[in-house]
Amino acid sequence: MTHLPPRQGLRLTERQIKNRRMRNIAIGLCVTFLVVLFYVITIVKVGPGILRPEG
Amino acid sequence: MSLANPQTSEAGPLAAIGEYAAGPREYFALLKPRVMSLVVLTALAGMLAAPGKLHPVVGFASLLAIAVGAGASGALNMWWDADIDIQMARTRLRPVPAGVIAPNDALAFGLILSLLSVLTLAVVANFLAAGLLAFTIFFYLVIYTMWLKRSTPQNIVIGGAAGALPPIVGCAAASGHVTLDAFVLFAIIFVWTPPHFWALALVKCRDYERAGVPMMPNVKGPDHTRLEILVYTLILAPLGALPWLMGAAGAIYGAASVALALPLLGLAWKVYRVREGVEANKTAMRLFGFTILYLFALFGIIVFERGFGLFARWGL
Repeated sequence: MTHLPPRQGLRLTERQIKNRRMRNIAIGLCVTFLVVLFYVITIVKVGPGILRPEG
Repeated sequence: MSLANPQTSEAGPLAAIGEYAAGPREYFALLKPRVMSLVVLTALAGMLAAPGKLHPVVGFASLLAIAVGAGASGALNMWWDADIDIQMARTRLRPVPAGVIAPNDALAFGLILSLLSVLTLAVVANFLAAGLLAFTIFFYLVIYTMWLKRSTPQNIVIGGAAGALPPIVGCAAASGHVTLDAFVLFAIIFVWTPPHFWALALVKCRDYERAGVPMMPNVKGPDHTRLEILVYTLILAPLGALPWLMGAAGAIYGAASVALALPLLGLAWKVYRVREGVEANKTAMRLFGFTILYLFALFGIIVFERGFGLFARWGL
């Protein structure tokens, strides 16, 4: 059985991990806000008639 | 986003402190929130001064897009200017020179927000407004930041056009075209910019000199700068009252524009006269502070008059 050497990859500090989590939450909130905003704008610009069949 | 270890990467001079560990607060600082607040106010004034009716949701979304566009150009400015920002006391703690945000991250952040804001404005308002916003970002980044800022003492005079455009963008977003009223609001901010920045530059001229930025006091000298401040203020004072004289703003605006012009002229005159010692710096900083109050007050009154319907109802 071969032993792999310990990984030499990037180690994040506690602060970097915490701030990455905060950034992810902020991005999630912004995307959610944009989805709601575009939905409301669509309703405002097109109006409720979007669901009404023509004729 | 960069997660690079500063000890093994191309870190900024202060990266060991910042560790490139930016949270949402640092990214928000990258948008220059104080400048953004002025952009929001002036764009809103342009929107409200535009003819026709605007749905509040469309108005809010347009304003948000303009604000984000302004913030994006601020982020791109900080990305490009990191090398000179670190040499000036006033700017050395900005996220990029402080090593909190990697330059490439600031660039990506600014580009993404620029694209998002322009496309949003195109969808929400119209292509004219979106095109004007794109031009504003381009002008601020390429014409001012990359070219004029490091090459001519007229940098903030010509570059001031970028900061003056938001009322025109707001007007275009609200009405689909650009009115003469919006151009007058543009002119007020354009003429306001030189005395505002040069008052600060008189005090911070050593900072600018160290960074190699050719501001007016470093190139033409403090005395010439004081004269130019006075000349621009003499133009600004009557120009500030023009929206009222043209009938685009009400009586409250008219009274305020005259009342505020007097101390503004007084301070500019004092800056011209007091040239030596601590008092000279104090007077320049007083003028710098008052110019901010002046612009916020004028545009705030337009928003107040138009926003609450005082102008339409009573001609106030």
